[in-house]
Amino acid sequence: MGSLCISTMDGLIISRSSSTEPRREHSVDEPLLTVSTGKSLRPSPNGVTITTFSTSSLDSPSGILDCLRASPSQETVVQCLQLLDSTFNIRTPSPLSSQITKVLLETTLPDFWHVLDRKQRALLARCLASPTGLGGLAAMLKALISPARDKAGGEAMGLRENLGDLLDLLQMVVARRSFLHEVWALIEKESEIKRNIVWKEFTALMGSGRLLSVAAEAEMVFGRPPPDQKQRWIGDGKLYASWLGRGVAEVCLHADIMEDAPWKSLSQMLSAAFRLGYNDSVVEGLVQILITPTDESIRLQKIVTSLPVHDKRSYMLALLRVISTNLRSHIKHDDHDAWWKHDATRVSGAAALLEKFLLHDDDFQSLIQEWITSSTGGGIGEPIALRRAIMAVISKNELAFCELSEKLLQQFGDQLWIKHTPIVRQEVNVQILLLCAGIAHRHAPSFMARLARSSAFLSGVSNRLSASSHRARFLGMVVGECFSSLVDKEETMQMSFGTEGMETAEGKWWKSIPMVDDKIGELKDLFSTPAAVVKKRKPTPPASSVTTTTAIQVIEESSSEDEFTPYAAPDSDPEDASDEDATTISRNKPSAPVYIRQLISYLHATESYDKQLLALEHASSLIRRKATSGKELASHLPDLLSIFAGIDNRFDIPAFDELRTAALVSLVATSPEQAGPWLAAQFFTGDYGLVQRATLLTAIGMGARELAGLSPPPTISAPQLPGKSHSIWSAPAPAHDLRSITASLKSMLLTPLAAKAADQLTGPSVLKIRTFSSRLAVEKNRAAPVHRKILDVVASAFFFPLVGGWWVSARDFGGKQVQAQPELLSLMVQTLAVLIHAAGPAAPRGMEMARECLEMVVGMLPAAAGEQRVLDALLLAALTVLEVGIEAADGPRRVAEELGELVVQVKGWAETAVEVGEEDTRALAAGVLVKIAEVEEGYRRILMGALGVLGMDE
Amino acid sequence: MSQPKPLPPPPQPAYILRGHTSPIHALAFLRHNTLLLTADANGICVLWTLHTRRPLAVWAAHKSSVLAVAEWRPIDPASTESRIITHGRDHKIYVWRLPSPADDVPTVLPVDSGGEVTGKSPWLVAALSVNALNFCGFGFCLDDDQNVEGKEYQDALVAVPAALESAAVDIFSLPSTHRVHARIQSQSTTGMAMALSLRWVKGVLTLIAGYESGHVSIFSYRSGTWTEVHSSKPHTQPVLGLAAAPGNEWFLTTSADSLIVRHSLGQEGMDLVRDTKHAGLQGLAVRGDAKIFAMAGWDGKYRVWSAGKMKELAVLKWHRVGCYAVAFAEILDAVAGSEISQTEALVTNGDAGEVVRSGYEGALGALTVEQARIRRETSKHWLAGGAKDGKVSLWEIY
Repeated sequence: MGSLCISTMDGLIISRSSSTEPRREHSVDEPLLTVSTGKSLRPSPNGVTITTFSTSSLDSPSGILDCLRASPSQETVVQCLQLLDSTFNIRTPSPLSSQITKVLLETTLPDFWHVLDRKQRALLARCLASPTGLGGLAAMLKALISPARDKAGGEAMGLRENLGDLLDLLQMVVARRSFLHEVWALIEKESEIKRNIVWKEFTALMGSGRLLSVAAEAEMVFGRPPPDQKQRWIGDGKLYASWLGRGVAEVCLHADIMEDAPWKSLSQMLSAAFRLGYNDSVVEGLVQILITPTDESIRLQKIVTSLPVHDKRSYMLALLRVISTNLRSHIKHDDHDAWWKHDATRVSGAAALLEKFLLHDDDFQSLIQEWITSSTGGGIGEPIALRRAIMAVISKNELAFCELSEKLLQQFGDQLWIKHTPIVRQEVNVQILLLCAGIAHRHAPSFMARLARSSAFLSGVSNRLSASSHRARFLGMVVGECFSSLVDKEETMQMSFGTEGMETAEGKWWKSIPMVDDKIGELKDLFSTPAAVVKKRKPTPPASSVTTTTAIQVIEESSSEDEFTPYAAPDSDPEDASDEDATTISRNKPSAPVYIRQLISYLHATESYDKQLLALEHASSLIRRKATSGKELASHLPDLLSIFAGIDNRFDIPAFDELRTAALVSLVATSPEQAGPWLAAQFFTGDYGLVQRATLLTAIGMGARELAGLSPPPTISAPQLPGKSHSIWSAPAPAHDLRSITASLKSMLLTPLAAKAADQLTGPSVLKIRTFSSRLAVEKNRAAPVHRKILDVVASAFFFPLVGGWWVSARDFGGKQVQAQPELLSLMVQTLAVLIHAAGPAAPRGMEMARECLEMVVGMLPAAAGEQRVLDALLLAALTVLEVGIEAADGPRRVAEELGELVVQVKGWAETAVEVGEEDTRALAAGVLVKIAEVEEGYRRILMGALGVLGMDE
Repeated sequence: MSQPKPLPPPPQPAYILRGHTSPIHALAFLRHNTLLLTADANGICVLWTLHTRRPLAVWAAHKSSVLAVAEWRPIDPASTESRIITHGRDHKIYVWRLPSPADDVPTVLPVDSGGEVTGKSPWLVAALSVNALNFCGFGFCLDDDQNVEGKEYQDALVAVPAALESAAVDIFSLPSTHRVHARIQSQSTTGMAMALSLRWVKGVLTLIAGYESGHVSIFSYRSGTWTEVHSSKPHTQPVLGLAAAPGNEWFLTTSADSLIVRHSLGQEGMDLVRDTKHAGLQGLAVRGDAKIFAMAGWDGKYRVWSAGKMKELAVLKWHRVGCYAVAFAEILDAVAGSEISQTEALVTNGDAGEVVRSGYEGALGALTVEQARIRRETSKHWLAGGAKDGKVSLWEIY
């Protein structure tokens, strides 16, 4: 019986896909009929004969089939549908039901879809809510796609119309929350063999993407509606996956927990769903239904434990991501020691969820351990709360915990690992290690003591201290001090490096990680909101509003004669512009925003041109004004950032881009610690277009330059000369986009080199009055620049979030991320160059930034060879790094020592670029070579040593 | 000279009367400030008791927007009666008797009844069909007929745009509704008449008209004919407001532009032009002592100016939308106590359903608490303004 059904479905599919004219087929199918009603109701060839069947002929499915084929009237069709829906079950697979399905799709749908009302449509959809129905729908879509795409003119229009109807129907069929559940209930009744076969077929259709791919293609041919007015999601992978996840969860809710069969089938569906490629959405949908305060997680556990190992892995990774989005908190961790307490409940809730899998399934256990130590795992870019939850769970399994701690410690101290792993990954490793140490200290002091005395720890710390990267050293010191403070009781015995970095807020934060004590809580804790931080609210100072005096308000004169003392003018009484036409004056002109809150409300008023324009015009200056007083800006910063990052130019405001960039720049310049990392993170993870992403980068770069004092902040509402005279007399506007900044940077870097080269060409230096002394000597005597604000923030707020984000996205998308587009990539590298240049030679962690930047350059150079813009940007970045590095105190030596091998690699690439590149590229490459030569001048031996090492490595 | 004293803070409204659901187009203080009449764009009139701030009567006077309202006082100052003239865009001028409690006029405000007003209206005294295809309210004055024997009210004259041509003005007599003067028209091309004022200046019936073109003309009726004594074009936009000093020394005009112009009467001509810098000055009212005047602006503010020096004294800002009408209360300092107490009697005993005419001892001897309150309230220097938001604001000023 089962095989019969499948063959019928296949037959259906084949016959549909081989034919493009659905209406001619009726007669071909006729012989399959087994029931004759005795009435010869053959429709006339054009099918206009409308026959009304007596109800008696509709007493069996075959009667209905007959009736549907014979051009029935609308009432008859509705009657048939009602019968099919209630009395006869055509959802269970059988030859007759597939025939009826076919007629419904081929005849009834195109004929009646447009005249059926919503209820009747739903009736039709219910009749098709079966594996057979869906299979038929998919096959029909598939058959329609290519003619609809290839044919032109009116016919294609008709086909497309058809396609749209089909998609609507399909959406209607599946869109119910209980759809999967109903189908499962249908299939469950069958015998086991038949059930397996039908379910397998259904799984392949729904899960593995056959339906999705057909629907998506059909949507494409039909012409996608604009995203905001989209009614159908059936062709949208992400939404589809999320729906499927929810559907599976829904079935789970109703399945019998004691039996195995349903869970096995559901796992099949789930693992098929993972083939869709939207794992996060699937798991999110699943978790949404099953992880609720009323604990249904046992069902979730049941379904995932029967998954194959590989799918368990997909599931776990997706689940971790889902959890981490749940744990992401916008509250910046404060300086005090109890920073972790505000979300402790949610972490313990997450731990409770993880515990259900990790502790009761060996596969998950090994997967999570692998994840923690693998090069891409550890949750780079995710909040520390995720790692806290995981560690809280792992600490329950003593053996695994010890094993993991040792592995982490070993990784921590591995010289090669230190040298070649991105810093963000190392930070994650250290965070987990410190969490481990805290747990060990509380639960197994002896194990902790053993760890702290182990050679792995001691050699690890010393390897770290000898590392070239400042950050790597810092992390080493953190771990060293933490371990020692946990193990050594006496204060004098405790390790203390006493360096500056350890006493900063950041150092203290790191050192407080072992104090974190998370428990496995209740699942419902995951839904709690973080403990509210009670803040005393200061009354906002009254804004200095613009008071315009009215035309006549003479006080002095009026004293003697006038018996009336004038009242003060009201807070705002704007005069009409003198040249305005009295009939067209807009009465309720919004006034300029004076509060951040007001600014935000104007920005949200997307329907009002006046408000948007005013908000944009005043945003920059208002933000700068508010930056120095009160907490108004700080409390609205995330809102402002997201608004400006995503705002649309709805009204074609001419200076829109400049104004928006200016607003973002002012945010970066006024609160770099928050805005910088946020913008960097959004650049990588936000849902933005190319231009918007570019703006984010521009804002970072220009904000940094402003902080560095390289470009002045815009003058706030200085009075201007009228139009033309202003353009004559005012100074040229400073460059306000990143491209022109990079251009000027380039010429600034290259011009002295060219001058020097020209100088050398004119003759031996001895003959000249003033020799162009060696740059090496001059730069050494240069005093370090005075402290600028940029020095505090450039690394932590701008540079490393960008670089770290790059590594994360490169890991996640493997070079296919949107940031790898040449436009954005070159812009990003240019931004890094601008940042390094803005930070200048005196920046703390300068060498480290130089190192990360060069590593990135070296990593990208091979791929960039064909892409002019990227190559230029990379060479510019290398040039900037070298220039800034050489300028630093004792620069050339440190460059040679610490960046030696990278420099040698860059040199190789620059040499090729000089030979083959375009004019600009060659100039840049030559510049790089000159700079490298400067380094070589004094420290050839060290460089050669690096080359030797490199040679040996290869 | 010493330091200029700090200015008092901007005035705030003393009370907001929220009753209308559509923009207020006209308002007037009646019966020596005991009552306030407001009329809106739906043709609904509300008569408020000033000291309780509660409605005394609400009726649908017109089917369409009300253009102007005025009080027609009886000859006998001691009388408790009075008449109300309303002019609507439904081409009607109605004369109503001041509603007494016995008339059973409903007091449910449009805001409470969802904008619908049903029920009885006050007694209608006269009805006159006029041309109201424009926005021009009527000009009103009492006839100087000396023969008033046996009459409660002197005859009244109303000036309205002529039926056939809105640029010309007809004058009707009330309550007879006869047309007594026809087609008074300016020499220049003026467009529709927009604002009219009818007055007796030194015993001569004088019509002042502001036009759509911005022209302002003065016509005098001497020896049986109307002559245009003066015409000028001070405004660039249609004239919207026209108000004369009680003593007929001068009159003011405002328009959709931002100018306020003072014209002299007697030796005709413009004598002062000021730019308020706020275009759209619709309502205009001069206070009884001719010292200050007020304008209602489309910018949502009332502006109070001194009439002598033509300087801004106060900007009354409360409404968020345009203001259309403004009126001053009478200055009652010199009014005899008996008059007030009569009205007091009308108001205080209104609830009992009968008018008690024995309030004299109240005025002479000790006052009851309520009488004291009425006296206090009516003697205040009120300014009432109505705006597009349907709200009426009360300000106490100077």
